[in-house]
Amino acid sequence: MSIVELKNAKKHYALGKTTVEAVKGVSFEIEQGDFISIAGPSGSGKSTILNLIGLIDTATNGDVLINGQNVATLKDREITLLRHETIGFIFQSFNLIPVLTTRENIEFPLLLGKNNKLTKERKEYVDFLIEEVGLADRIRNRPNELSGGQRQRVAIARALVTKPVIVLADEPTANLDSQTGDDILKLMKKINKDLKTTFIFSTHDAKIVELADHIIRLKDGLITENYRAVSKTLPGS
Amino acid sequence: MKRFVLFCAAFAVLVSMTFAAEPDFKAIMAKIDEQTNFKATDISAQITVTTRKPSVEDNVLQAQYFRRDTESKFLLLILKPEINKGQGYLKLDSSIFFYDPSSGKFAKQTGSGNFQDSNAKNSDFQNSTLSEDYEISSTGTGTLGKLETWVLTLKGKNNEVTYPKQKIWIDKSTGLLLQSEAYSLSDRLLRTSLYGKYLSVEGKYIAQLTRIQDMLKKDEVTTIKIENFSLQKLPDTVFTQAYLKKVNE
Amino acid sequence: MSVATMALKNLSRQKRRSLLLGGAIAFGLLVITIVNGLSGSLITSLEANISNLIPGHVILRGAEKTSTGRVILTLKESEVFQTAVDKLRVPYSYVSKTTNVQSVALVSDFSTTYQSFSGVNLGQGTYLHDKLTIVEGSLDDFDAADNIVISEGVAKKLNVQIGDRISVQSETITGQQNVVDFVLRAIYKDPGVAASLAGAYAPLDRVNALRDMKPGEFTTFGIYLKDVATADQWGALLLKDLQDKGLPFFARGGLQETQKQYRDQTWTGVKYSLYTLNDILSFIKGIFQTLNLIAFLILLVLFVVIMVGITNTYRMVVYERTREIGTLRALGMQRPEVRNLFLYEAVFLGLGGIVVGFVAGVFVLVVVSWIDLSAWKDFNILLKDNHLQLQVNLGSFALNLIVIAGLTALAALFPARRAGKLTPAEALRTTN
Repeated sequence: MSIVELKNAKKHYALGKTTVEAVKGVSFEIEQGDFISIAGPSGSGKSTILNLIGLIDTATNGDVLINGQNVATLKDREITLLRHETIGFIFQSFNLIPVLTTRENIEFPLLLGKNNKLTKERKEYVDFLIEEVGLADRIRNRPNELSGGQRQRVAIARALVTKPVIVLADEPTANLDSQTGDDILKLMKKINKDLKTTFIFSTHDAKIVELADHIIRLKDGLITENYRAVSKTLPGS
Repeated sequence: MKRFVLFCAAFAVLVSMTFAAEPDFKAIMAKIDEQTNFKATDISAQITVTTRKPSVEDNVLQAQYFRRDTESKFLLLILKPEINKGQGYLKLDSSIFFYDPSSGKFAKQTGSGNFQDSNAKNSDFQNSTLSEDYEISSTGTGTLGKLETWVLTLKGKNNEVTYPKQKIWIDKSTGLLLQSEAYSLSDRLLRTSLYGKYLSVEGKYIAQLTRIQDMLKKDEVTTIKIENFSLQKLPDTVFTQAYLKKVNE
Repeated sequence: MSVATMALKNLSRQKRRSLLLGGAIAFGLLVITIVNGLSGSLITSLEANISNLIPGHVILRGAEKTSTGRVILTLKESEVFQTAVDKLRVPYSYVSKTTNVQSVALVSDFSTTYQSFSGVNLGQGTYLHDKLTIVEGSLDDFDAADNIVISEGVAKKLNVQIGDRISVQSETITGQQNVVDFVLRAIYKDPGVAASLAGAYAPLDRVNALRDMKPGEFTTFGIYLKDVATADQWGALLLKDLQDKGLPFFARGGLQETQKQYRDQTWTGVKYSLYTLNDILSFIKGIFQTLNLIAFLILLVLFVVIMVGITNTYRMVVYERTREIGTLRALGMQRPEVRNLFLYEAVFLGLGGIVVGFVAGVFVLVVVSWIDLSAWKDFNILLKDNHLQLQVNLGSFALNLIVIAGLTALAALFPARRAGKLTPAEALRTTN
């Protein structure tokens, strides 16, 4: 079963007196464990589609199904809960919480939702993720004390801490130098392989497109290409 | 027998002489009231009350004075100094009211209360009521300067008279009051008052100068001077609270 | 970490802004703590000190009206009062029978002054014997002779020393002039501005002689309570008990109201009046209460201004952190939690300001209470042992805490609700 399905999903925005059709009707399915790239030029609707999948925006028309459930029928509270339990986010600008330390930023999602106790088991998982992203010596630092790459690693660990089914990454390497970007991609690919977490990227980055199993190309709010590719690895990995 | 008759006759003459010589002191005292009370007319005058106390400047108060003895009323309206201007004392029946224009209120005072900051009492401004208030406990004679006087010791008829005991000096020739000494209940001399410069008007007399010496606070003296005396009939409204208020508007 | 903990951490962002807002709240609390503390201190000292100058915390008087309309204050016996006091178990330290004269002339060889004059029992164990601070002379064997005790200020005015003669001139109860001589036996400590209340005291029977009252008569039955704050309560109970026994009383009120009743009413026999310390102090207390009210109103205006500041600040804060709000929502924070995050921040800011302001206010009061104000002789009556008393009202503090915290939350509510209502996508799109 697909974990994400869009059926003729549309999204319009009012921009002053005009209406912008960011997504004009797209349909596709995503399987668990996919490493997907949603590619396209600026304004093609990539981020909008990611927002629809991430349940942080609602489709003007059409259906969005997560794990077979149509989210249109859900109230905001239920959507937030579903989002919390199912989806992890990695933002282009990292979006870490400035007053929290590395550890606290990573733990943060665990303190939301219904089950918000920091159990021993959860703590151990946090430790594991910190090790995985290589930030064991930075756990007490605040984001303003970390480099871009380190911040993105924190964001990755945060996105994974709730063991989400899906991780949405919006231009994750855009603010990183190429080497750091490569390292981040390698890490995400590793997690995808080890934990079977579905990664959905919105990206210009050709390297990510190359690494992806499933590529969806957009132009002017519509899908131009939607195909599965042979999984590739980064040169040198 | 002849000697006996002569003796009786001499005795009778002596007795009659004694009795003939003894004045009617009650009448003398009553005359003081009668001579100084104006029953047929109202009186108005200007009054100056000067109080001298040690270590302070003399306090000089000028007031307009109206009196109607037939009804035992008086009104005293202060004109100077500026700080007391408009204040008034109104006697109606047995009550004395003090009016303060700054508050617009009337406060009841007693006759035995001090007049302003002086050694005079409020009752010093009403008509004389010696024979009403006092009985004579002893009599005698004396002199004041060159004047021959009767000296009467008076005792208050009730326990509400301001001075339980007074001693008065009366001019033998005129029957006018020249001096009085006022005593406390404990027989302590409290003040000595001298009355002079009597003005005669239509058979009545008014002392134009009164000097009150406090005998307890020895350096305190108050003089009351009366000028511009008039017997003009006054409107009834003068002796009302409303008049005092109106005058201040 | 809870939303509350995160809110606390958020306060450390924009330190200057937090300090300014919190500082404004702290300033307001500082002012009101000091004003409340000072007025409370002054009233407490005044109550304690003035107790020395009046015949009791609860005072009973009787009045007769003669046929000429003269009002004579008189009480011939006190048994009925003592019985009532004992029956009600009024917790008192002393009872006293005194003859009080509002104004007499005290005349020395050098000058005259007008003061109140009281005939009292000044023996061992009586109220005045225990409470008057004697600076010269002694109260030993006071009641035995024609002794008089006056205050320092009066002694200075009269230029007299221990052993000198003072003549006291007064009216009797029927309005006649009388004079009695006394010998200065003791001088007590000056109460400063209440010098006019600093009367002279002499043995009861000698003052009765001055007033032409019979031996054993007196004008005032006074009760000094163990706790002066309960004067009104016990006064009311005593009044009811005595009225139930059939004693006629004038309506309760201050001294002026009673004087008016004396003038306007006619009655036969003795009619009684009951006062408490508060009736006598009501005018002054009213002034202090008005001062407190004015301070509170000024503070209210100040806080309205601060609240407007808080609202505007949090509008700015929400605007600045819009993207962060989007992130929090994306991560799974519910709308009420986002709203509460900002509310907590504002409330913690308010609480911090309140606590700092209160502590600073208490500190100022402590320092002020250490200052020796003995040079302030004129205001002795407002002081305790030449110092202002430290008085901190925790009840007021708790009330201020709740009210101001509530107001702060209210001020931040609209921006906080707006923050909660933002859709995640909208918030994340912002470039703030």
